[in-house]
Amino acid sequence: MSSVTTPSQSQVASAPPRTPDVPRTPRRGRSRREGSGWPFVIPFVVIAVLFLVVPTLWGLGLSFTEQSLMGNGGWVGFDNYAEAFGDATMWSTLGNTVIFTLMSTIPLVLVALAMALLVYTGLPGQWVWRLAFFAPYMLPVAVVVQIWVWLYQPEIGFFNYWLDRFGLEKVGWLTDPNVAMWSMALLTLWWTVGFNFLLYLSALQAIPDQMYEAAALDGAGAWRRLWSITLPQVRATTVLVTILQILASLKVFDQMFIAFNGGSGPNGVTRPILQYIYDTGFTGYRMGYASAMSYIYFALIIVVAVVFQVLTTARRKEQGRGR
Amino acid sequence: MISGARGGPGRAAYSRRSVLRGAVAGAGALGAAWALSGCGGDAAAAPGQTRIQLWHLFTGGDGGIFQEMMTQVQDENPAVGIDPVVLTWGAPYYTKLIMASVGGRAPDLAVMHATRVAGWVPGGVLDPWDVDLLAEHGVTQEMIPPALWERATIDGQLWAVPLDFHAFLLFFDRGLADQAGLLGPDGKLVGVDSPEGFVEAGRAMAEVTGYAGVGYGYTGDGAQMSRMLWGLYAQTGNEVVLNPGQPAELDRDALVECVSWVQSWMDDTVAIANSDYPSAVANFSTGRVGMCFNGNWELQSFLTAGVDVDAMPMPNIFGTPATYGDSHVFVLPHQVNVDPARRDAAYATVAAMLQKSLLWSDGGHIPANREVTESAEYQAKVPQSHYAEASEQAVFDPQAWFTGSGSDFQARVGEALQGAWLDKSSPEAAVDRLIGSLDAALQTKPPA
Amino acid sequence: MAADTIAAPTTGGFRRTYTERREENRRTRSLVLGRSKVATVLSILLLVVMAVSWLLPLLWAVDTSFKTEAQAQSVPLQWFPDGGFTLENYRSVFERGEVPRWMLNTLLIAGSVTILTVAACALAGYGFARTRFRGKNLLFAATIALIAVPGQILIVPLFRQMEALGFVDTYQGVILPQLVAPVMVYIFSKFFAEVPQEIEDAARVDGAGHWRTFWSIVLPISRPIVSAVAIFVFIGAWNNFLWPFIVTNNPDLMTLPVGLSTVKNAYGTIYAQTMASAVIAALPLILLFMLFQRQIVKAVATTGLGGR
Repeated sequence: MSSVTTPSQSQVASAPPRTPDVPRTPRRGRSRREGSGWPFVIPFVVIAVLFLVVPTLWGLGLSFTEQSLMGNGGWVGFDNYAEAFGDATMWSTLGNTVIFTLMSTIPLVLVALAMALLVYTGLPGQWVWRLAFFAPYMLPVAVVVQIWVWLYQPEIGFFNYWLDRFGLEKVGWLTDPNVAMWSMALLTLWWTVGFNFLLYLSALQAIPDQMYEAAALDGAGAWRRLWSITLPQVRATTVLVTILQILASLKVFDQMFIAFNGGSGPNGVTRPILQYIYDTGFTGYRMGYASAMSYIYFALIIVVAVVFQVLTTARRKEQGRGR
Repeated sequence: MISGARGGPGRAAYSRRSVLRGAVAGAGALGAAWALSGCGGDAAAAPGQTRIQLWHLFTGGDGGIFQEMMTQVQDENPAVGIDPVVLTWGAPYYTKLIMASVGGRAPDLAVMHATRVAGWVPGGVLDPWDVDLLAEHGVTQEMIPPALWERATIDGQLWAVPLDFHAFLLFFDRGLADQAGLLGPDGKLVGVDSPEGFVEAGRAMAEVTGYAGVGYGYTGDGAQMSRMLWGLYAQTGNEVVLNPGQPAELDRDALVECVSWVQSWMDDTVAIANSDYPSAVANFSTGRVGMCFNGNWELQSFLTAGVDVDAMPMPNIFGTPATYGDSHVFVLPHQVNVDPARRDAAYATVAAMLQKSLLWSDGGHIPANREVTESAEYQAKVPQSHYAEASEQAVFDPQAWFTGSGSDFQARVGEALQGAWLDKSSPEAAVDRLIGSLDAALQTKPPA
Repeated sequence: MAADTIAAPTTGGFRRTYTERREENRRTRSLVLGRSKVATVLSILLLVVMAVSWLLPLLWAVDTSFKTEAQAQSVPLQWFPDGGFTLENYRSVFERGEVPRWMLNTLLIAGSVTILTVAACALAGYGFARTRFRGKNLLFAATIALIAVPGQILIVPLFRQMEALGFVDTYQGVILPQLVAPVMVYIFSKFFAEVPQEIEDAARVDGAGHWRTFWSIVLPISRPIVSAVAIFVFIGAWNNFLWPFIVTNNPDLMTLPVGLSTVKNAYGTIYAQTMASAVIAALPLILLFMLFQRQIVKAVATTGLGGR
């Protein structure tokens, strides 16, 4: 999930909270001597205004200008937005981002679940399994990419070497337009699946023993226990993990940018929209246009978040009560 | 939800001890870091010494030579200390350099490509050179070939001091070429100067090496593809004219011919189709191929690898001699508050580096300093003197604000061409995609 | 969740004996898998295969880092190269000095980000959960809304802002924009809201104000959430790439992820040495994970789903 770590918020940032329920203020035992609560929130409010609210508005303003990296360029109204909607590269990079999201989210949820289920069975050496699956998540992205570029190396790389040895055809891991994005998804799976794995593991460990004991009395085997107890019990977690993963994958940038050295991959298939924004703003000097595309992309993220919010709320109502 | 049913109560909570231990460890490390941040970083400056930061992009075989030159310059002039910074070559280097200039904490001196200077001058991210001050340090217009000096001069001011001209060459292994019957009596390659001849020569070479004939690493590397394409295109006798707001003026058929020709020998015999830059270098270094298209900056790595290497300008395939290249230049990134001592040290460094140009030619580059190239020592250098003529048939990246070495546009060239060469998709489609990218870029307003 | 954690007394201690753990594993196994031998064997097999494939890339990287460049690129590939292993790559990396420098920068930056973020968010969380002031509800709703703003869209205006403040290529330029974590405020406020009222009441009787109650009563019993948030923020800041990449151009100020991917050495692509610097860069957090595995696992579980 730290396919996305970025300024300010961490991975979880866009988790749409269920309801903005303001915590209740205790009624009893308050007196004037307690003082106001304002000083408690002031540091955070100041930081948030300075480094989140101000740049958000600044960026909105910039999106209506043709300001360059060097600082020149004035108001152009909606020109940037009009250009963006007709910009084939923006749509194709947006498409790449969506494709990556699909390629990465499904395995990142399923493999994490499989890992958690296997570790959950209580086999000896819990410590080792957790380390094996979660350790890659602790690596800086540059390290992950350097290791995988070495594995993907076309001629003497680990993968192609063994493919060749077994008489199979070598694969253009980073050069074949049909493969490159899968290579990025595989790298991402290896790197971040440990995070989802831990979320699943803690959900599994919260399943009450009594449910299994009851199933044991009914004579249910391992397979039936999996399908009738374990999986239904982690359904809520699956929904959440999936949402968080989708939102995280949509923000992908680091892996592609580093693996292709700031390039856009074979045929441009690996360049995500965030990199196009970066390229436009900093490499192409067009800050105004980059800002406009940022806002179009922001709108997309909000739409996705809201759609999930609506879906999960509807679902919860259907079920009567959420878990 | 974390305090699981199974763990028992103790599992859910943290022991006081562990948290404390963590806190103490963290605080200790932080303290150490704060302490270090104050004094780390810059190498300690000797009293009376001026230290300047110099950014460069030499990561090939020439990187070691450049380092050697800087060491010699510092040894001979103890008043100047150089802190070199090497960033990833290509778009990232230029992006970082311009962001540093805009951000107000630019390095004192930087190396860039001549083809990129014109795109940067209008934005005010470079400071001009003071020609008189340069002359005081011993650098004059007469020293530099006119073509390079003119390219560095915009609106009557000098923005860049050329260090070299560097060319995209055909390297060959003398021993292997001889075995393949490609070596003429004068030690030069024979029969490579035609579309068919070159492919035949590659096939003969592949038989000798048992792997492939020609090394050309290009996958994922728009710069390598641009070098080949624009070099060959110029050999057809055509040129590219790019005027903002207008469609690109070029000869589509000639471009298709060039793309198709390269495609024709990407057959895993004449050349390995799926070959990136490092693997092509490795293949030539280990004798798995006997010829290799690459920049003259790789000369040193081939010599180090023990290859019996010689080199020639790009073989004249299409009739007009032309060799793609560019020039490394020294620039002064714009600084808000110029420190006169450091600026003076930058001038002194550039002058001293130009004097070291004979050493620089060890790195494979053709020095810009004519006093060096006209010297007998340089003329005696092999293989450097064998490709010196490349500077006379030089062709650069098409001229526009968005082109040049390491520009984002080279990545667009790469995107367009790779499919044709690697996957054998239609050359016409590749060229049309390229023209589309050119036209799109020309429609974009030049930033300033 | 918060209530559970609070209710659980720390006296139990988590350092259970080996036998206890083995007993518990066995119990879980029989509960989940039943008596089926086939299921057990299959699970073990699959688990081992997955764990090995997850460790393999790391092992190969470590292996490569101890080879000479020629050994690393020689065919056939060997786990144990002819001529033995070498420490040369590590020596070169330390001689160049950049990686240790970036590591200290990262520690400094991630440490500052963690301390300041936890402080600001814990205070705000308490303010929203346990105090009253005019405009609280509105402000809390605004904080929740800010969670939806992805920091990635701000790279362009934030760079402009840092440029205006003169913070490009400074530590404060790297640190300050990373401090905004509204989701952590939400997590803290949920936690504090569930602290039993009686605990605070005792302090109130003594006439303690908000500050004293927070500092001497609430904070001490909130260690689990504080350390969970701190760990989570620290890992995020340590590995953060995009913002530090945008705002630092001077290699002396770069963090590990940025430096490793931006700065090259002047001697071409050398895989073995690259792997050595990768291994050095990977070590601190891997060690951290080995030492504090339990806490980190819990931190992810606590904060990973936004405090649910």
